[in-house]
Amino acid sequence: MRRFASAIIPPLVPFVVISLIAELAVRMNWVAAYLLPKPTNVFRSLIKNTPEILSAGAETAIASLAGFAISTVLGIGFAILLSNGGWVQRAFYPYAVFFQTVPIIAVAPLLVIWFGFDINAVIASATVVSIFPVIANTLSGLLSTDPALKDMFNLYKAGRLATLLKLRLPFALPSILTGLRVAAGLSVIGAIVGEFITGGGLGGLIQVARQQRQIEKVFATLLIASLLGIALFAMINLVSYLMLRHWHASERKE
Amino acid sequence: MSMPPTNRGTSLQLERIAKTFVGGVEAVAPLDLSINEGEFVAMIGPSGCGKSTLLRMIAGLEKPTSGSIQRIGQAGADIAYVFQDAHLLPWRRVLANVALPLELAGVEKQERLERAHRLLEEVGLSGLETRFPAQLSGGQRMRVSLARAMVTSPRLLLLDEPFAALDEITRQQLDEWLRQLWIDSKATVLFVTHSIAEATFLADRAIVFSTRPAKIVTDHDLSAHLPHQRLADLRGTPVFAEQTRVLYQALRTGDGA
Repeated sequence: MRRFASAIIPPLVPFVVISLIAELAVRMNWVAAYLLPKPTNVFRSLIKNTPEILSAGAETAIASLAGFAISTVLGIGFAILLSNGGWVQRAFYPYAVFFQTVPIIAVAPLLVIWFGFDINAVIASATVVSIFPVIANTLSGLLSTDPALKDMFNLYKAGRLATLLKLRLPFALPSILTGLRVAAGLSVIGAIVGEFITGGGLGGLIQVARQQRQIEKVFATLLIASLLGIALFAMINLVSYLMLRHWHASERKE
Repeated sequence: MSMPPTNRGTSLQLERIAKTFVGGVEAVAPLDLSINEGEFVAMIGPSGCGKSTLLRMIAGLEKPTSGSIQRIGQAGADIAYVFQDAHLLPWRRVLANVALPLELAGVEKQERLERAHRLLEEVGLSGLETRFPAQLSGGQRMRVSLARAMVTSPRLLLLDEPFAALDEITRQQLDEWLRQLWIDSKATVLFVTHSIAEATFLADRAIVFSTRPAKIVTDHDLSAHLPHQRLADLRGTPVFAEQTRVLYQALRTGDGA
């Protein structure tokens, strides 16, 4: 409980301080209210629109998680293929990079045409945005296997599959988890961009509120969207801790 | 050690074996060497002289540029190799690390865990089966590594400066233990080191190599001078000092001094 409190309270301090400053700035007319809403109004809007924001949040959460899951499975699988090196890596790695450089805002309308005006396009958008860090980090982990351990597996005549499952993947696990941590946040961003087009979820809600100049509602929705990203990030951190705590320096606490 | 009685050492026949790395570094000059079944051979030489490369070629981890290696009395994965560091799988507990070679050979779970248990008892690590490598000392990790090497009852045990990173006391304990292990197992042992005292204490035969490319300077029979059973106090005896002096001189010759 104490550990939990020590993790939660410190980041809340700047949040409260900045909110107070914003409140003061608007009340004193340093900043116009149509540019920056009063945090108290944002909070009021959040309370008033709770059911709507939460149900939109749930939709975005499902799309983000689905996109994230697809990125995880496809990204790790693709990286395993690439890690075998040779012409496969040379032929396909540039296309992996494509996923990182593609401007999602420009591609999202295309995804809607391909997948329809529903959650499928949102999931596709979340996947496109979040898959590259999974591929890149998994690949770098798979390519850095300790050579002595590889020698040992060769000496004991371990097959390719056994070497992959018992040596290369576990060895790459810390890198894979780093990739997933980045991908988790990106999948929420990708989902919201997709929703700007389809009109569902938090993205759709932000779009409508903005058009109606309900700036408090935009901020209230943004707040929930960020919390969703943080929740996904925290989930990966927990998984990472559980998987690495016994053996990897990044998660070992004496 | 309780090795199966059928377990016999490998004998090795190296003919004109040589290794030149890509880029032209000549690690091993063409050399002939024969190792008898059940021998304990120490290979001594200055750092970077190519003795590790020779060991890797014997293990089959490195292809010789020319020459041939014949292993007689060798079936399948009967080689074990111990590296300079313990090289355990950090995500596996001690017991699963020791059982790994058997797991890769497809030995059934019950049996491989039993055999791993027995080996851990013999290296004096009973009770640490469920620890992770990160929770062990350097000496304990090396013992686990040795237990893992011995779990398949190999006929040929190759060790590449395995104790170089350990403190002197731990090192001497492990030397004694390894000598006894060899006496009980009847395996052929090749031990690469740059410590003359360690080579003298451990081996029946010491081969001294020159600086790179590795050539044999001296092939010295230690068993003619030293007892079969060796205990710590052997290190203080005049005959031990005399043998280390012989090897030291050979090493100096090979170094071009």
